Amino acid sequence: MKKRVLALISASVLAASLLAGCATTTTTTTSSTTAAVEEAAEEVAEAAEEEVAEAVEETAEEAVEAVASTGVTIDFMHDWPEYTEEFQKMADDFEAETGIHVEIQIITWDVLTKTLLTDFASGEVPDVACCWSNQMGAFNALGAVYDLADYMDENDGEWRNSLMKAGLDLGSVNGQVFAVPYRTTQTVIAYNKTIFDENGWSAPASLEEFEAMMQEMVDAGYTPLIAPGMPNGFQISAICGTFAEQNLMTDGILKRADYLSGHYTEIGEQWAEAGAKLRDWYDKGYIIADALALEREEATALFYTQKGLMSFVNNNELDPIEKNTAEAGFEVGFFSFPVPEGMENFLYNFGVDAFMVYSGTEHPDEAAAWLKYITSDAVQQEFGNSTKSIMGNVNCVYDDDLQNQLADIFASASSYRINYDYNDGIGTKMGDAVAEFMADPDITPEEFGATIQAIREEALENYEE
Amino acid sequence: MNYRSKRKLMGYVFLLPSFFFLACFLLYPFCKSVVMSFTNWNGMKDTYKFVGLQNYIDLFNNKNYWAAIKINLKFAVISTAIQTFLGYLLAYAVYNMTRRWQAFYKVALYIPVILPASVIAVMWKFLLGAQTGLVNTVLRSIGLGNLAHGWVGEKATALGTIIFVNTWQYIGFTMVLFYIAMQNISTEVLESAEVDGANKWHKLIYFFVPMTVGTTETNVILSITGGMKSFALFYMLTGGGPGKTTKVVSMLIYETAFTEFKFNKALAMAAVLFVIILILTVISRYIGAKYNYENDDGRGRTKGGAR
Repeated sequence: MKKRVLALISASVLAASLLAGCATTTTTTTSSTTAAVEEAAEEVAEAAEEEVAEAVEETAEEAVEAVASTGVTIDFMHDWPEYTEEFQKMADDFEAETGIHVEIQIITWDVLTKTLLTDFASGEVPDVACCWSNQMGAFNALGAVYDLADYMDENDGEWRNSLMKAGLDLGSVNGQVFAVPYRTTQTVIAYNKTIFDENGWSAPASLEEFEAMMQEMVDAGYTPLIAPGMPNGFQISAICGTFAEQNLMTDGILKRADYLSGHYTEIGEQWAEAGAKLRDWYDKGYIIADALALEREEATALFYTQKGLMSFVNNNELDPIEKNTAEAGFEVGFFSFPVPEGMENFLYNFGVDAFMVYSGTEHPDEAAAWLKYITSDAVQQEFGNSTKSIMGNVNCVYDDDLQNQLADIFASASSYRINYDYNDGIGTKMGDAVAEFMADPDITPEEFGATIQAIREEALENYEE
Repeated sequence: MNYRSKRKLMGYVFLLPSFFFLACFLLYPFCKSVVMSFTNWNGMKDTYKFVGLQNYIDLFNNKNYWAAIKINLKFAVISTAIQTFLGYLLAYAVYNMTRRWQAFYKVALYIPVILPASVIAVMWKFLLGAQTGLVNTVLRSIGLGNLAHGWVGEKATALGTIIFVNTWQYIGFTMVLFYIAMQNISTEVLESAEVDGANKWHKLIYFFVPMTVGTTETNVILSITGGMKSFALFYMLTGGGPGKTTKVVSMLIYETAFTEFKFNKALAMAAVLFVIILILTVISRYIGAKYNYENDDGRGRTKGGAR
């Protein structure tokens, strides 16, 4: 009992002394800090006034630095896991220069559209996100993109003039600029130049020459063209689309304004002919067997192991293509899908990897500043040199011969890609229809053409509702 | 309030948190979805108007939807049949093994069940590649090149391939379910059957199968509902292709909602799918209840009540 009482008393004394000590500290510091706090507050107020005055006087470039001092974080999404280091370096350098932190999210290109659309629906969209310029009509119809025209026009259009016009036009709708071109993305045909040279073949100048050459290849026991059909028809669908556009060009439809905005839909006949031609190529052995079951990675591997002489590749794969073909022991060359004799040379589905700003962003100035930074001369040149990409900045100069070859292909051709001014919602339907047609011999080309036309008509009908 | 009433009330009180959780995350979203399926809501705008049964009328005329339902039914029924049959046989085989082998096989067969669908899809894509996949390479190397196919890219083999991969993934789960049911069978009954001259086959047919009908019913319900809702394997293995050969309803719902931005139509699809799954579940339960001997007291009467 005594011990308990003693223990209780000691504990109480200990607790009391602790509390007393804290109170004392608080009491003794309160009065001394009050004056210091007041003095500090005055100094901060004066400094803030000076800073604001300076910010007002600065130009657009210096305005970015002023904004940076707020410690803003913007979310940035790109679809190039292979360039993680490059983008992280850009983000670090940008933050060092401006104080704006860039939080990077990475996805892959094959889920880009679905990711963006899902994000739009949920409202959880990064401030700046990768996209393809031709999607801006649809995204604008959803109210998801921010107009960057004002930023483009600052300093007498300094930013606008530094970017490729074709890429900017693709990402603009009715004068509003929604997508900033970062680099081109275009499918070209890579070919085994070593075997070509051995057999006296060269890059064809016309579609007729291409077909004749492929027949010679088949007769010689080669597989001419490797084209992956997964997912959703992929390059098989692209070949069909190329034929369709060539037919539309012949029939005078391809350049029509209503066609290019997605408002002309009587295209069944041209797609039926295209489907028939695609099947003919497949039956003749011009396209690798089991193409519908091939994925991109497998198709590329087949090209490197010389199971086929030509392969559809994206121009941005130039660096790995050069390395892998050198390792495989053959030289590589490129050409664009040829058009029929006498037709204007144009590219199917010319595209631009671009970046957009989300309409609901809380930091449009910071987002625009980041975009200006990554499309600036120095950053674009460095990225182009290290990745062998054809950049969106027109001031870039390339040392690599193949890079220049690709740049020449893009510079010398036109493109008549549909830029829907509404949310077409077509998604993978066209590709699925091509894959369905190729997988089922019972579907006639006419039925296939009617299906394609129905898809386009339904999309337009939904928009008009 | 007497003791019984208090106990009853306490029971309800303890149920409240679960009910609240269910109401928030199940009942409310479900009811809201059904209501929105009668509107023209596109998922992006806040405004919408009621359109009555128009979405459902359009749905009944939508060939793609019914084609997808057909694919789902084929997948669900065939997968269920194969998994139930094979799973039962595996469970019986494991039941008759020594303890050490039981432990090994139970773990080995269950590993695919816990693997994420993405891992399974990547693994099987590598194995089933048309030109460079391991399966076709082996077939060609042993002179069976004519059996090599573009497994996930050919119309004739795509659905069968997914059924195979799905069976490979979930056979372990079915096996464990049946194994547990077999463990619950009284050993005295089995011993007396042995005394009467029953061999392993007789025991399987006349004892194990009838006495595990309840588990079979559970497995069928789980398998069929899982098959009707299946998405991940289809999305990652074939993407719904080639063409629309393996485009299941859940993929169609996803595309309708997030690509075409027609949330109203997608919700109508989901509501109809729910009704179809409910009908299939009720049918399974009816058949299962008719032949369920697991709760039988041995005189044809269920425990706790007359038959």
